Amino acid sequence: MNVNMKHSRLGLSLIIAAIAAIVVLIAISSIKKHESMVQQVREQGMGVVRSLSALPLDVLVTRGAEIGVLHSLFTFYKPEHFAYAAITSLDGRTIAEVVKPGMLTPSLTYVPDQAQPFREHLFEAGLDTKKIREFSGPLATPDGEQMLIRVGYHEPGIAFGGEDLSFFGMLALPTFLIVPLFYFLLARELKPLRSAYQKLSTVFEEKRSTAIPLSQEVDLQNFTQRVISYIQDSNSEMKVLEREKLDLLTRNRLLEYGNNKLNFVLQSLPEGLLVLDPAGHITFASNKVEAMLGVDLPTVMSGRVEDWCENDAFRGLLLRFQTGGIHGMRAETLEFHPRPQQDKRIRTIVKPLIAANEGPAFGSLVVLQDMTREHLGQCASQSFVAHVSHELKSPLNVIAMYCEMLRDGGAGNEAMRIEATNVIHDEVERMNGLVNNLLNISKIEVGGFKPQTTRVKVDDFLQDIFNHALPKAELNQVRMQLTVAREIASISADKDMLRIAINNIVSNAIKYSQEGGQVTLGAREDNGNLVIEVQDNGIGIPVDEQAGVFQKFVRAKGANTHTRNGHGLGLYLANEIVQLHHGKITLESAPDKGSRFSIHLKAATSNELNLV
Amino acid sequence: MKSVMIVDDEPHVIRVLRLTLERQGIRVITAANGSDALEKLRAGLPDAMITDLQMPKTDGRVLCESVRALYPDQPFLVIVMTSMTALEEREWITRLQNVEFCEKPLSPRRLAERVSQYFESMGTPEVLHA
Repeated sequence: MNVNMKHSRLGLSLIIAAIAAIVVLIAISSIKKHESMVQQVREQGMGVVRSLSALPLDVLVTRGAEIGVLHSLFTFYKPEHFAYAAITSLDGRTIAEVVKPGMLTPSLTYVPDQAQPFREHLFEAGLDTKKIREFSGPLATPDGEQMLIRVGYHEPGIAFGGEDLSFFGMLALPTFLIVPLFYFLLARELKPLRSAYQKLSTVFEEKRSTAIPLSQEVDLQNFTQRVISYIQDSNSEMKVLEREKLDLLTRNRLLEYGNNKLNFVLQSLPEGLLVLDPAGHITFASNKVEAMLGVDLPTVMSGRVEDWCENDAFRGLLLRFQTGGIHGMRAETLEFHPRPQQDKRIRTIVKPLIAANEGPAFGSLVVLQDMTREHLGQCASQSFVAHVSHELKSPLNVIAMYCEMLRDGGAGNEAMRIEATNVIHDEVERMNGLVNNLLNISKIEVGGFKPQTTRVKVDDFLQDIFNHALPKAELNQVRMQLTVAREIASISADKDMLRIAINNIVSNAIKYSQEGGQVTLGAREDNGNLVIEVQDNGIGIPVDEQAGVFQKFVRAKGANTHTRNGHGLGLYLANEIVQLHHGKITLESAPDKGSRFSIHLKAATSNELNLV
Repeated sequence: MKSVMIVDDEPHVIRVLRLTLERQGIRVITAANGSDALEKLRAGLPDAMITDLQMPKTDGRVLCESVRALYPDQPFLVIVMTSMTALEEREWITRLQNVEFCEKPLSPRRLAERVSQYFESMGTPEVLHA
């Protein structure tokens, strides 16, 4: 329908254009004709005036029966557009005139110019008449009076006369005929194209898949068929591509999800991961790597290994994978300190990822495990074993030496025998104390030592400890003192464990006291807490060593020879026992001013006392 | 009279070794730790030294290295008594001249025999390593 409307509009447009062309042609022709006529009038008028101006007056004017030239010329000649001819004196008197019927000779309105005797004027003759073009020239009289010969013509207009009709008709007809001819020829040429367009539109709108019959124009038919076929193929192809695009989008999203999930899993692993490409360059680093190696991830990913890796062995390992490639490389394991003088210890396993039989190489995987805790534990364990070994071998050494002395004849010497016996006894006790301490520490550390709490009357308890320590104090010539009130609050505690703790502290106090010194064992109440204090006036402990005295195998560096009997475990064990009782030990000490160890425990409530 | 310096923080060890060596006519000088020993060495060098390894203040290793550094022209025998059996704890001794280990529990008799053996060979240029 749209095509037909367009078709009609085209025809209408062509008709309008043809008419317009004809009108233009006619207008141009009319204008040309008018101009020609005006020129003709001007030439004629001026020629007539010049001619008449040359004639004498009496020839021009009619006298009696003699018709003047003026009269006869314009009466019988009747030039076209003639309006009047007159002889006028200079003062405006009309001497003679010939006028066209219905016309009057206009008055003279101008003064003749001697410099230009022959003139023409164009003026309005009146409201209802055309303009008059008057030609004038001088006319000499026998008596010398100057007169004017005036000839007036109507100015030609753009007239459309009957004689023009045939001309215009002849002009319009071919023009008008050309248009339908052109339209017909154009329509004929465009018809196949229009048909092809209609069919293509049908293909797009109705999506036909069957063959469409075409017109008989061979070239255009072939072209159109190819175009239609191409469009159909393209349509099908686009559908396929759209489906594939949707599939790709879905797969892409699944892939992205899988990738994110895998990345999350990798980042969640406790180990740090580095992935190297086949050329040995780092292409992936998990977040844990940053904390393990002490290097930020952007530097690991983009920086040179030589610049950020401070450990020679690990740097060498990574560089081997860069310079040598991964083919021929084997899995390697290495333990190293990422930074020098640091306790952190990392274990790394580097494994090339190559498919079997020299298949595709995917790169290498570097797994980093933080072995710091295990390493420190191992070091501590080794150190512990070394210390225990030393602590046991020392008394054993003394015992062995004295035994050998006795065997080598010392037994016969009474003094030597007594000395050896006492020393061996002391060393056995020392070893026994060490073993007991070790056993207790071991139980506490593995969590197998649970306090068996009972009600403990503090005054009796401390009296018992005091009595036990007194002989040793007297042996070392150290005075012992007990200060505890009878009515002091009771506590809920494991009596045996607490006794070990307080005995250790009291032993230390005696050990670190000079001869003639004093050790005071006491207890007091303090805001609901019970504080058991052991104070001595011995060698004291320097401030920088006080924090360490509660650690294993740490002994104050006193010069007193009595310190040789210490293992460095007594205070550690005492501290552990007090902590198991939810208490704490505090220390106040200064070199040569003695020390005061205070055990802070919660006084038992009436409920606790009723329960135990 | 030959002299031997005994360096140990265990008084009983010093006592037994003193008795054993003095019985063989050897003069004994004692010190409780490495610092004490270095101080006493200024007064005169012994013909041999027996020292413990683990001692407060200055231990046996530092004592040995200091002695060799301070008196390089007099590499007298130094016997180090130790209960440390780890190999890495013994490696340092190979860098020092005429220093050897003696495992605890030690035999005073054997120690004295070793010292006597050393004194008998003191005229020879060869030095002994553990």
